[in-house]
Amino acid sequence: MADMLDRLCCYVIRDDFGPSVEQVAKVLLQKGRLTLPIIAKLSKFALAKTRECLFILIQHNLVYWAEARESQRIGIYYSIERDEILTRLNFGIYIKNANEWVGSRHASELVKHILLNGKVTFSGLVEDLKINKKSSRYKDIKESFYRMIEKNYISSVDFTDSKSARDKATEAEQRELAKVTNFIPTKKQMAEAKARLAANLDMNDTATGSKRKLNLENFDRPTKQHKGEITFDENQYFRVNYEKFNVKARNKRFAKFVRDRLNHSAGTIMRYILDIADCDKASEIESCSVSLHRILKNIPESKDEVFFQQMKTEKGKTVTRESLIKQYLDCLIEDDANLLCKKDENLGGLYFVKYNALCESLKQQVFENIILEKYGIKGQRIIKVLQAKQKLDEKAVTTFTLMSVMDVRQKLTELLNGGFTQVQEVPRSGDRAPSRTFFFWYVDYNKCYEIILYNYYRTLANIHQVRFEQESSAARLLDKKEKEDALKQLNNNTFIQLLTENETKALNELEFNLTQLDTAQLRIVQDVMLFKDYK
Amino acid sequence: MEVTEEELTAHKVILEQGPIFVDEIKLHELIDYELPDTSWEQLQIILDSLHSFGLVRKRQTHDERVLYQARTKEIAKKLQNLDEKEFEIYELIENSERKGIAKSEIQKTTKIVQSIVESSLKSMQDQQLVKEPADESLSRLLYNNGEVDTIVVEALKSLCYNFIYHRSFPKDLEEEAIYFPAYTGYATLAKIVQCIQESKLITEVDVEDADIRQILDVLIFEGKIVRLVSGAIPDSDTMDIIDTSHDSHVMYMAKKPRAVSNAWTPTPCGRCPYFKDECTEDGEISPSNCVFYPQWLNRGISLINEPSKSKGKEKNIMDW
Repeated sequence: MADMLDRLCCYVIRDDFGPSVEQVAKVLLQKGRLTLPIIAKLSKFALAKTRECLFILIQHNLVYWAEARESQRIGIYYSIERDEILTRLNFGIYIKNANEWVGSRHASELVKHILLNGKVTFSGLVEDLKINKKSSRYKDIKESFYRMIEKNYISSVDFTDSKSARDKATEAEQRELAKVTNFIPTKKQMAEAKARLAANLDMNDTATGSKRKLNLENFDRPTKQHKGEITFDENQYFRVNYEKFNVKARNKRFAKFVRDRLNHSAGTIMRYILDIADCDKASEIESCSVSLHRILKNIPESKDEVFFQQMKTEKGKTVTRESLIKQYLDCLIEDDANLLCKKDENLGGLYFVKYNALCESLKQQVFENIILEKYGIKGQRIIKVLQAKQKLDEKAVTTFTLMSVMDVRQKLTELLNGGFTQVQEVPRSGDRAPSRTFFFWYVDYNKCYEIILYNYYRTLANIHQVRFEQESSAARLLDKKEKEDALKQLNNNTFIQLLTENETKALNELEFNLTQLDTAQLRIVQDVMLFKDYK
Repeated sequence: MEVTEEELTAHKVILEQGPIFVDEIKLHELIDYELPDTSWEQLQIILDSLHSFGLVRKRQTHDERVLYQARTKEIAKKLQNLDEKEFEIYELIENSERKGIAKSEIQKTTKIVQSIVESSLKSMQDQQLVKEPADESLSRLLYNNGEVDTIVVEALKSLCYNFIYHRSFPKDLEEEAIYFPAYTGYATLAKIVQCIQESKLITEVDVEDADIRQILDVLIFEGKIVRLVSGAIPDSDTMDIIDTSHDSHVMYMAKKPRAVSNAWTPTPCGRCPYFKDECTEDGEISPSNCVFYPQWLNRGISLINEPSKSKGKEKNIMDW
């Protein structure tokens, strides 16, 4: 798996920053924490060039550096973050949906710009986008930017953020230990220090939690204080908060899941509930509770007609908007995929979403679909039986699936080869002779998810490689196209043509092929997010 | 010694009676049609002779009457080749009827040593005279000679699914409409069984609830239907449904055939036979010289260029 991820990471960096940066990143990926001279030596670049490459990587939050004291001198160590690199694959999703999620029409543009630059200050951004400070556009952009800060879509970075989480943890530990003793700490002292640190971390988490709730309340009221006086430090650096976007992407996926499972109306209602419960961290396993009243208030009445059309209500009962939506909520609760949960019966009840349970249902559906597509309905039947009944021998599988013994044996072997089923041997005698051994088949979903994730990563790497191949085989054409564009710009003349008709056609085809590959990639990335980031 | 004409005729008559034991008095009457003026003594001689050839089975009732049942000629011929002990075992098994008899029981009754019983059974199994019984619990509807009858299973599955599907969604509203949460008009097991009986799809054997429940289980495993329990809302902590055994509360609802899709299998890699082991970054088979990707990409181009064929699909290709 690690080899595969390194390969993919290198491709991603080559795609975004070119081969030189890739070379430096490769060294860091393979060897771990290193100092500048060693990186230069291993990547066979001059010091200056290596430094430039590292600078790019640091600017884009991919490389962290930390000072470490070695006897008399201080060495600077660089390390690279795999997860940060892999997150770059999600950028398309962030940019596409930013407008909708942030609720501002400039958000996509801003997110794109920030992602292109790694981290930006607001003043730098205004300069780069060539916005006149007196125009109304400036005001809009500023408001969007403020909104993104406030809703946690972008987060501020400072000097200490250049350290990786692990370095920070080590430093904190050292500090904590220094308080206790100035000699080598005992095991007990170490454990105590670690426990204190862990407690501190938890405290921090709850602190941000309460702050968020405060924010939420502000949002429910009309935003009076925003008008006129939007204040934030324009020279503060900001970067995109991937986690928040991931959570939003997850919520979108959930709503789609509900829509496919029940219908559009239920999906719409689910979307509003998730929006109200708005959470920041992908690690949260439960949403906060939402009252029926709040759900009713947030769903626009324009949707009502569709709601009425998609629910057959009980005969003879008058249906109000409230009772209708309540019925949809009951549908969501009754569904066995853990779509929605209810806590309290008072005042129409409090609703909440179990994120992890819902994720699990979704993962299961995706996994079962892969089995269906790859091994047919019979394969799916076997997997589901094994999941429901745990360990079974071949004969029992035949009984439950009502399939012929031949089919069962063939499918089980195919699934075993794919890594999706396992065999447990139970010998009946001490000599472990195969003739006197039970062979029980079983399926471990978590193991299967790992295999699927691996397959996804591998496919992503393959798609990158295919794309490089496509691009390099058309290198001459691309060069010519570039020249043509340059000439057009230089002479301010759109009629200049260097490419022949056939060449234009070939270029169009190439472009279309690349789009197809991108599409496949983005679809896969969404599933990768599901299996990797959502807990 | 050969079988005489008269004996053959008598055998034919008994064979026509089917697999039941016939009283000798009734046999006398029956044989009288074919061979008139056969005396009672003559009949006894014929039957004894048939019995010695292994063509009939003999059984004595407690009120001293003798009953006969015919064996087919093929079996009788095989029986001729058996030795004494084998024949004894064979008769024992034969008399156990459908119930069968355990090996240990054979040993106990016949007092033959285990090894000989084993070898005799083996040789008779090879001659297809006896067989190990298939599972008693196997349903007569779904199984045929101990093997699952897939044709029947598939036919029943589609019948059940259609029946359930038509009762799962309201018809007078939009296509996507669903019933209100406490709706109880979904298909129940009793209704499904009734439908199958009325459809006359199965006529030879009785349709039993247990068989259909098994079919429905398969449909659940395939993700085509779900089981609902009315009145009993699952316990929110354990998600256990209390009292599932009671059929009257259990209903079945079809799911829309629109499944959650995955992103992997539509790509060439998801269907590639070389994906797992052979394909490497710079190996003989590698993404750089992949034959499937160009095919796949070209198919995309042709779909775009021929909008008539790709009605509605066009959007699908590039949508994510």
